[in-house]
Amino acid sequence: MRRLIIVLSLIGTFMASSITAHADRSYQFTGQPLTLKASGTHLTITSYELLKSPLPAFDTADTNELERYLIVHVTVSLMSSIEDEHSVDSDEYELFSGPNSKDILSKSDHISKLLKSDHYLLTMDGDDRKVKNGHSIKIDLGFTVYPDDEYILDTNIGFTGHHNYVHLNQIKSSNGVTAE
Amino acid sequence: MQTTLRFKPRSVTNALIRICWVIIIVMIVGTIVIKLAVKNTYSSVQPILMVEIFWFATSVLLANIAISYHHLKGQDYQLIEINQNQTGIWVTRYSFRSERLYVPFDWLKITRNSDNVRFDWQHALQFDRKNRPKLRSHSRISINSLWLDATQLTNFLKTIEYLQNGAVGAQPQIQESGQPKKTERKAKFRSQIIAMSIVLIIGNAIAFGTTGKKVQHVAGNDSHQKVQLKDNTTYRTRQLQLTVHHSYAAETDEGDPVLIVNMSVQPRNKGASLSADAFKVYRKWSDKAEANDDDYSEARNFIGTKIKVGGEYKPVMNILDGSGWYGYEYSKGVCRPFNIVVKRPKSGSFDFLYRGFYYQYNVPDKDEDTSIVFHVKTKNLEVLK
Repeated sequence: MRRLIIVLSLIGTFMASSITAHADRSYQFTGQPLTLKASGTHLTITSYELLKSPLPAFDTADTNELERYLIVHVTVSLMSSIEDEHSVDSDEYELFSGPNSKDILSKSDHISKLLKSDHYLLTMDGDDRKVKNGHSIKIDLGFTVYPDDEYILDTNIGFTGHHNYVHLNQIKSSNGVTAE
Repeated sequence: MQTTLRFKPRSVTNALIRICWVIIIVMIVGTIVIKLAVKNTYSSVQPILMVEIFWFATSVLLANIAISYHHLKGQDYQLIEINQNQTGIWVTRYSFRSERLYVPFDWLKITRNSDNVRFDWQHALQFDRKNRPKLRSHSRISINSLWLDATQLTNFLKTIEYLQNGAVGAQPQIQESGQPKKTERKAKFRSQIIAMSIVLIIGNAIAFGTTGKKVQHVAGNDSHQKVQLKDNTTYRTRQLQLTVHHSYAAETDEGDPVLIVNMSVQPRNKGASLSADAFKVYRKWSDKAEANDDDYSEARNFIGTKIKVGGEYKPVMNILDGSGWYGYEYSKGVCRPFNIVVKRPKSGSFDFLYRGFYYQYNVPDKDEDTSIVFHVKTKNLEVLK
């Protein structure tokens, strides 16, 4: 019986330590390029912008039609030491506008042609973009968001289950309700 | 010699039946009164609980009567017995724990008029289990003549008088009195019990039926916690852990008074989800009001709301929308305080509901969340203006 308890507690400690080892990390984007590393794939966030136009199509949850497009400009690069290639997948990215989860834009949002030609807008149902080792690719991530919210980009690069959270903006507020 | 005084069995049974009828009627009327009185409380658990307590009390009363009757019957309806040495009487008082008292003739005084017979005693002795006597103070019993056989009573009183006077003179003449048939009594009693059961069942069916149609809602109410809305307090449902940081009273640019709850949420399992549809305000929440969608306002449609802060109108940030998040999407990294905005009535208090499941289905499924009713006192809210 005692042996069983020892074995069980050992398993318990092992599991607890293995969970903490995979702890997710949070970052604050300050305007300077921010690089996240994930097993040889690097994601650099260079800037983000809230588009004044075009406006997203009406969505039922957005009764007051306040939603805007948020475009996050990033660079994905693959270290030359990696022998494989990395295919950039839209499911690696998710954005939270305040407490609301927002998926990456889909092709039907018809926004890609309005953006600069050298940018590749990653869409939900578009083709995956591949990065070869030693190369990098510029990508735009588009989401519909509300203009007065805090934005948190949730990335899970390579689907390792290892999430990085990037706080894109920071709103100063004394009451938690309105900005200063 | 008539050495015992017994109740007339028929009188006892009749009285018993009468008392049972009264209690049954009290039970039914009481149930209706309780259900009407607490009709608009938060849950139907409350009235059910009150009815249960009431029924328990009346059942205890019934049991007490039944046990007394059982004792009485076991003693063959004997009330008073002259002791073997013929020096006094044994009086039995029947109740849950029947007690026997010994009263010597010297302490006894009997008065009889047309309706009643009264036994008064200055003192009495009560013997405990070890047969030690205990002196009891002055008391009396008064019995209506209807309960006793007249001939038996006369004989008994004559005997006592004879013994009190030191048993001198001729022994009193004993008159014969007829005994009622037992079988007749039994049949009557049985039919009465059947009638009582029927009345009890039908009466209560009507009592429940008229006052609360939705008896099936009872189980669902266990899934509604009722709490006071307090700042810096964590509340738990089956799937979520909600921490209320602030609660504000504010006014929108359109002049509507609103409640703003600044909270953060931790999912407790992967099946959790949250959207503004889950939050509503009621003037006074009740299970019925929720089932009938009788809410004052809903938390959706408030994105972009501007409220007055420091004299100017500013947009409220991080408002939960009608889509919110679902399951795996929400993790620790994005768990930040956010705001619920909902129109509030101008009254001094109202209820703010987190709806974990659709009440129309009565009880949450295994994979659904439970609900919380937050009672809000307007004066306790922080004011933004």
